[in-house]
Amino acid sequence: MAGIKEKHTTHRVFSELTFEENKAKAFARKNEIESSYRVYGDGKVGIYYHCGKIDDAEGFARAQAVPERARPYEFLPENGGKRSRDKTECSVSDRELMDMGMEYMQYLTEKYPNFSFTGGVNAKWQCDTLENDLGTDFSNTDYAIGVGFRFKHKDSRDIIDGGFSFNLRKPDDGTVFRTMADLYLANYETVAEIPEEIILDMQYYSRTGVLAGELNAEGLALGTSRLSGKIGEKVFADDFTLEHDAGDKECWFSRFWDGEGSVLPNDRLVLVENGVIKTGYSDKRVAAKYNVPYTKTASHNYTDLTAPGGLNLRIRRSDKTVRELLNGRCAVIPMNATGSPMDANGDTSLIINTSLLWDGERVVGRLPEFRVKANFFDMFGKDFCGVGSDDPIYNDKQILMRVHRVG
Amino acid sequence: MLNDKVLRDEWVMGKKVGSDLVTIIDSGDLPNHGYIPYDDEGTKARETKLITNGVLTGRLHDSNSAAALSEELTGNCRAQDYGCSPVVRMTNTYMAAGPDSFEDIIADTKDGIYVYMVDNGTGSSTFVMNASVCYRIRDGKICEPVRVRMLTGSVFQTLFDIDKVGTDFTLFDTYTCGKFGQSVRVSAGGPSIRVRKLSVS
Repeated sequence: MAGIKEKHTTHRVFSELTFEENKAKAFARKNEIESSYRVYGDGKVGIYYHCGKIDDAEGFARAQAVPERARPYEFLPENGGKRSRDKTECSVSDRELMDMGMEYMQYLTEKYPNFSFTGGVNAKWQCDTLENDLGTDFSNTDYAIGVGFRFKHKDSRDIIDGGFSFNLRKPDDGTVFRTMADLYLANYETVAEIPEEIILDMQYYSRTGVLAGELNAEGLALGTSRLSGKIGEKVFADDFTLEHDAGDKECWFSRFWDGEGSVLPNDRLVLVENGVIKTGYSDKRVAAKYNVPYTKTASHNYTDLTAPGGLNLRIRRSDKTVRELLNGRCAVIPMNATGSPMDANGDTSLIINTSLLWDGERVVGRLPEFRVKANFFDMFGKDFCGVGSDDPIYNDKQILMRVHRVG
Repeated sequence: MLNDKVLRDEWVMGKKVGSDLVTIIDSGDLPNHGYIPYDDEGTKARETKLITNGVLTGRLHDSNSAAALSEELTGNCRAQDYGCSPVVRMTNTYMAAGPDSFEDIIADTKDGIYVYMVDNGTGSSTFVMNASVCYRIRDGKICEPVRVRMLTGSVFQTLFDIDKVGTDFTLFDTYTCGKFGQSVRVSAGGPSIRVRKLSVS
């Protein structure tokens, strides 16, 4: 099968210092290259995935070596021209990373002797590329330092009681780490009362994941989404706007192209605007099969065909800070919680084993275990309180929403 | 738990942790989804009785934890792939079958819920099971389907609340176990059991 050749690559260099029960356990360093060779033609695409270095000629030959394994694919690759994006702001040596981790652990063990800590620090550099015969030549490079610690109180019968983590594009003087550690741990031993009005304050990725599941154009077309038949309808709160933002500076290791090499105008796709469902998201196959808008949102799959996905969903921030949104009320920071799947009406239950109560600035204490219920339409509708303009406690975006206590 | 007094006291060998009917085993040597001939430290997989007739009799180990607790290696040090550090993990973990037929368990239940299928769950001192198909049991008969979102209980109490263990036995080969960001293939299962009390929502 002769045809148009396309190569996707990811080169990743990763260093990590890990701790177990307050002691340094291991330092690991990885240098990995993954490639996906694709050859398009005759309504099919041959795909070969390789981990490690390989000569391009061999990679493309292997993609064509077994024609009967080629996947049906009636579309052409993109001619996206040349574009490169570099989001790196620094690079730390393994020695510096090791020192940072040891310093953080020393802070934790000296200041909070009633806890044990497991976790670590890591640094990741990643470069993704896409090249094809039609002239596409894309690359995206990013670098982040990751910090994450789980903790257990000495009197607890659980293995883990909570944890905190954050990413930075360049190291600071330790302020972010110390601020976060102090917020989570300083008042952990104070038991607070569960408030009457329960507002959850969470990093919003688990919630945007739920929305992604419902806005998949294939599910919308098949009628299996809770949002099927609601395009153009006002479903959520006036101040709820959701978009896929491939250009978001705050996003880690994201590409500006999708898994089929397509690039959105201004790198953005608005899915929900002021509560109105504007569109689902699709790749080429789903758009053609169901006759729905093509939104240039295909997942990155190195071993097979794409599917709708690859989203970097962002809920539009409020003008108000988290504290201003709370307006004198307290919010619950869940640390150890499990939710049930949603039923057909969008109802779900959540057991919150361990959580903190805070006022947007200061942690009041730890809450006992309790259960709540929520509804998919309400959590982004009448129970949606907003996404703060600032990033307290998580050092990241966070959604505030009301839930309802049961039991 | 190596340096944690509370956990070491809680899970001390020989402690009664469940009803006499409860025997729980991990075995990487079974030809199921969690099969490993050797773990990622090179230890041959074996059967480990974790709980025998309600008494704690074993633990899962890597070489570090086995040495720290002066116990035998169990072959449970597993990594997701070559790029991950191995950690102590389950393999094929199951409850052993008991003396009661499934039909007798149902017939002996006046009022209860038959949990036919579970989607997923999590485990801490309060465990969670998300059920997908459940039926009401009335007067010893399986009746209408009932919607149950979540079953929860205290692991410390629920093991004591098991009062019937079936002769039937199924090991489910579709599970993965997640820990520290790594997923590995495992199997889990056992017989039908009756639990006197669980929290249902």
